[in-house]
Amino acid sequence: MAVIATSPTTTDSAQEMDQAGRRRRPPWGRFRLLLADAPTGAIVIIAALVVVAVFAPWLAPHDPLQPVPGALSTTGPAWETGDWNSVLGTDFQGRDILSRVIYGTRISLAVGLVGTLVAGSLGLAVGVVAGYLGGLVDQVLMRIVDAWLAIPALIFAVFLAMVFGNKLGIWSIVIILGAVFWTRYARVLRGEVLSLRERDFVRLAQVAGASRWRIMRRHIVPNVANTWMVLASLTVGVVIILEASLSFLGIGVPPPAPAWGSMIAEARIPLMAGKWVPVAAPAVPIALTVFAFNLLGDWLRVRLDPTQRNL
Amino acid sequence: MTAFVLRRVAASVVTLLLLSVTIFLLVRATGDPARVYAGAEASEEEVAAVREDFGLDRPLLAQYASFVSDTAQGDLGHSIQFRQPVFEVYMDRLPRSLILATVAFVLSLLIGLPAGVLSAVRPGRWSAGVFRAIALTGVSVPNFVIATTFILVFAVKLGWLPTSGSGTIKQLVMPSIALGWYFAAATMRLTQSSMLEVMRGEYVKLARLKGVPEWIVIGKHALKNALIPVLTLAGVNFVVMVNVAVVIEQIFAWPGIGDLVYQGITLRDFPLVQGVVLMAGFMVVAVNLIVDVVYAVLDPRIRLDR
Repeated sequence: MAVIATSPTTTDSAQEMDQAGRRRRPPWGRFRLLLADAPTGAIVIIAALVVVAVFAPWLAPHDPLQPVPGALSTTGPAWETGDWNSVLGTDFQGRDILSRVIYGTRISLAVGLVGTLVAGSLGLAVGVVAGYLGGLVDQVLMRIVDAWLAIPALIFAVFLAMVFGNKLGIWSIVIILGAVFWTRYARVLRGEVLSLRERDFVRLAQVAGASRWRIMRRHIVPNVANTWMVLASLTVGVVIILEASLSFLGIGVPPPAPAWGSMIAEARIPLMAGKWVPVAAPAVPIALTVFAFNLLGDWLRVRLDPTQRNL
Repeated sequence: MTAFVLRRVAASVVTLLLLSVTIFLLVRATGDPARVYAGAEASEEEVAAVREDFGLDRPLLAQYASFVSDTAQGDLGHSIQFRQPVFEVYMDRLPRSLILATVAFVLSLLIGLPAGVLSAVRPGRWSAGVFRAIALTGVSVPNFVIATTFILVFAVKLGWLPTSGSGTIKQLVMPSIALGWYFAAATMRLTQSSMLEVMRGEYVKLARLKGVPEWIVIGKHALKNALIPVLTLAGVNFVVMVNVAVVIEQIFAWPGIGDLVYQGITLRDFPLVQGVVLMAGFMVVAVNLIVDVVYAVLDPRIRLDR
């Protein structure tokens, strides 16, 4: 009895509170809800990297490409030498390591993001066209994807780098990375499109007489956008690692540009003498960057795909 | 069954043909394949000689026909530096790479499988957190960073292990862990998601309702099915480890196929790199075919599916 008597009042008060709460909720409340479980650490790291990349000329104490005037080559860090002019010491050419690491952020982020975008755009186009048109087009495109996927990424990138050289400077590497990774997008997105094209809203658009191009653009692409985002965020890290590996092998970003991968390769001789700073200085940012993008990608995957929530 | 195998073999042959077309066209995409084959530093005479040798002035179709027939017969061209057939050089190096890859492969499965199962079965435990950290490190830290860190700590600072070389067990420790780490992480993540997927199945519920002990439900009923995608990936991973340990082999001076690729890069020996690409592609397609056929033998549903 008591329960029945009190329940209307509790509901009422709950509704009042709810209404009051709704009135009080600021306009960005929905946005905040969306980001409620976002990986704060990853977002902070990525934001910091972007800031460092954008403001590199103001943050870097020295020119990344020129030797520090009056400095010796391969000096130790400031806490060993007492010389706070170059905090992390200088490399084998007497260039300031800290400044090179700071400028290297630009290269890694630019190559990572643009490379991902190139791969993603190509993969989206091929995946949507193959999945929606089906038939022979699908068969041919997917067999090509199979063939490209059969070549391991690193060795494929090495092959392309040797064929095309670095005539286009840093852009060659972006194109190479795009050529290596588009197949992953194409394969996954095509699978999504296959089920999308059987859905009612696509059928309706077909009945309404929309052209195939229009349906793909207006009805298919927006519906694979979530999957694309997840793939893209998980690809950025792989792209950055592959760029660093190529630079480490001497066929990535051409010297004297301060790519983190080539800095590690150059730091291997001092390493044998026990000097770890020249290796750690570029290695830690690489690991942090990739780590942050992977965390973000994992979160997006769970966030945008309800079936993955329990992962 | 025969029909299924034949269909899969036909598809693999088509994939290989498209692979060869891809390689063939990419080499010619720059306009002067003779320059690519001879190397950027080659003189005009050398380039002309290569053009003559390879018959690069013939019609494209004729060139492609001889490229495919040569490749199919195991003729991958001549290495400029080694002055012997690429296939022979590759086969010379293969055993060393197989040793390294096998150890790394076994390590990655020994760590990745149990870690994946445990973090699927017991989420939220501290062990799941530790495994997640190891996996995130594996996919986030490039293997050359892991390798250089190992050298610094275990060779330079502690002096426990030799920095490089091959021949002894000690020299195998650092390269195999550095190579296997990423694959252990990949295996773990796939095992985990695959286990979670399978554990939702009706037959797992039934087994539990029947009162089957939990460890048998997990170990026998669930794991058996969860392993299918994991082992498919593992097959390809092994081939990848044999062929792409370029950075690891170079750092540890391990004379395998990765080191061959590195020499191809530094000495501008293009036929060498192209040969490894073709061999790796062929091996991946072959392993995929074998795995598919083995599954079809073990599980009739796979045959009917396609």
